[in-house]
Amino acid sequence: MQLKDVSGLIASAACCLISADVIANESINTESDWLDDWQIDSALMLYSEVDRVSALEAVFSFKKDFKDEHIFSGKLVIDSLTGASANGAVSQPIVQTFTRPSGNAQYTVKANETPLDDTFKDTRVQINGQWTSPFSADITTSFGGQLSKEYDYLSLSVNGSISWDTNFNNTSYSLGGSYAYDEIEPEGGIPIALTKHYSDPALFASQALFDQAYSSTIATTSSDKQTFDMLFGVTQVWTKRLITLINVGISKVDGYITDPFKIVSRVQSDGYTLDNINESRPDSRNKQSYFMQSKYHFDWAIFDVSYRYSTDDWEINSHTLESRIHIPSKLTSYWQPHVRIYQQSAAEFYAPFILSQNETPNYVSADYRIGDLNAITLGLKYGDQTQAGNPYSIRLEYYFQTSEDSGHARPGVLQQQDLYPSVSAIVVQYNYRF
Amino acid sequence: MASKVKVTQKEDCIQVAFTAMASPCYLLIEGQDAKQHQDFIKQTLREVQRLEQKFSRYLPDSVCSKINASNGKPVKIDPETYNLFKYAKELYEISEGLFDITSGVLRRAWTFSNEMVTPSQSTIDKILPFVGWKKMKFELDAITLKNGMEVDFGGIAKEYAVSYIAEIGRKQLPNHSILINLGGDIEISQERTDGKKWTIGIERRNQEPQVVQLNKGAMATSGDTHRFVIINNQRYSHILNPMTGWPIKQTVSTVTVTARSCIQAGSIATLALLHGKNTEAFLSTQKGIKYVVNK
Repeated sequence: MQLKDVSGLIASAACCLISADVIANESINTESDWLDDWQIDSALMLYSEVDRVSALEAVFSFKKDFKDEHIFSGKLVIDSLTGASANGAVSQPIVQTFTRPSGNAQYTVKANETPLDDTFKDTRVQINGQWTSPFSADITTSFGGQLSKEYDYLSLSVNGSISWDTNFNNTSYSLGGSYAYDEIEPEGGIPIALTKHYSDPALFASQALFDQAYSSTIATTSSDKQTFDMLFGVTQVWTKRLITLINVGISKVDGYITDPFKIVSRVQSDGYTLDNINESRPDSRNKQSYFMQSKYHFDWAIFDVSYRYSTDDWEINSHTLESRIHIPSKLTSYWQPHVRIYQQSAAEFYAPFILSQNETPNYVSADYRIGDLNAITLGLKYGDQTQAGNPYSIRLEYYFQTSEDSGHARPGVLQQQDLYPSVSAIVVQYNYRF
Repeated sequence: MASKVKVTQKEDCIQVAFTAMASPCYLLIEGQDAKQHQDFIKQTLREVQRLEQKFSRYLPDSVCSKINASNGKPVKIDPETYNLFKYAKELYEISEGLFDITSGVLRRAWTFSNEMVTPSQSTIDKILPFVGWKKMKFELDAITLKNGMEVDFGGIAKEYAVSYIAEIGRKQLPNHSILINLGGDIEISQERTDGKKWTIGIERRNQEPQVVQLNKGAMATSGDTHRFVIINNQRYSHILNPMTGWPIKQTVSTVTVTARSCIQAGSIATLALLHGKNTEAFLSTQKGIKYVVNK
């Protein structure tokens, strides 16, 4: 026998052998079969911070396999946010008044309380689609797009990735990139950075003069930013039980990254606030992240441990250590405890307040989310399936975050104020696959 | 067989372990509800047993044994047996006579037992007239062997059973990926719905098993990790060349091939071993497959 390719001949002979016997009454795909091929997952999540923001989120994921590794997947997310969020000003031993971001009304904050803007309310609708298909036997490509719309925010993004399986699919390399365009158009406009936050019409001769002063701090109606991301990853199967993943990512954001709703207090030497100014952040941010994950399959459970280190040119460095243990219990159910520990250093321009006697820096933000902080998440998930075989799961998580003292010397009355309040939240999520 | 079935719930699949065709066998079904798949599990066990009883040359009541004991008379065959013979004929033609289901009779001389004495050329020459597909009469409903000839479905029956079960799985459990493994010959009915791949270990001589991940398709191994014979310092395999009556000189111990179906993978692996020193060259010319060769 000569050395020639006989695989095609064998394939067709093998095909005849099997189809001749088994497929006696094959039916043609009907429309309902086609619909049955869609896999639909649904999730409902409630996130609730104590005294602050609550979010209710519904997610529907769709997936259809067009065979031969051509897969379409899509997702629809609808969420609604309500509640209060810290505006950035320091708490004071006296009542404080602030103007709402719309510029149309004021709200007051009691003495010794962290100033929260309680008008935080938004509904977001997000849709995305992803098309994955093989380029060759070992190379898979994937392309997708996403649109997200809120009342005052629009985000559009496209992404693409390529992955290469080698070493009998034990090693897989992937390279991906994405581009996003975000536009923010807050009610009341975008404030000019570092201008005064006018808060009390009573100090003006008339409402018209106050409105005139307030509108003089508004730069424009909308701003935008662009984000480029690149990610390189290697997945390696070591043994039947051990798999590891390493990702390296870079991210570059250009444009308007300042939060138009955040202000910074200018504090006098006695600790009382002189006034508040609109925060200011650089118009670019470059970030690198390194991620490692290992999963080990013991006979009784699967251990999943991951670590992420992220660093950027705002000097925010973060460490995330996360672990999940998947423990099958009965025939169909499982328990999954989860722990996540997060630590972050502050951005170089972070300050809980600035001193009025000093010159105002070019960049400053009192947003606790870019300050020194530690967070821990403890969770438990239980999953099972219904009589009909549809998997479902319930997840309960507790999140606790503490902000570290950034070491800014506190003048006068600020010594008695809690400038670094902690935040805690509960997450409840229910998943169901149709 | 039915007495030793063990159903275990693994993290992301149900595992049904049983013994058939003298090998450890596994049926893995994506999902977590064994009860839901009871009918399919029972049918799999029934069909594997049925195919073993039909095509094993070791079981005296099998169709194979009846054909071998027919003393030159025609034996009625059903469509399934016809299809298997037809496939064997196609392999015979594709391999230009190297793959021949009538070569099993040579095992009278080549027992490969510990007491085996290397047969003389004259012994082999006496058996060779009873070897050869073309000496057999093959009709739609009957098979007639020349007195003294034998057929052996080794190398296709087990692989056929694997592909057969996988096809039933595709029909009956269209929303679940199943992996059927009969003694290391494997086929996956379809990709897993969770996007994960099945992890499979390939046995290797004096080494840890090689781990392979498959999301679909099939894998089959030919050859034997442990068994070979040494004659005049030459290593010979257990695979007999129907044209010379001698075993194939062994350059590799096993060949593992992945392809779309288990029958296809098994046949390519078997033909590869029949190529002796050209095993790897043959494999490298085959399109659409992957392979692992163990020395």
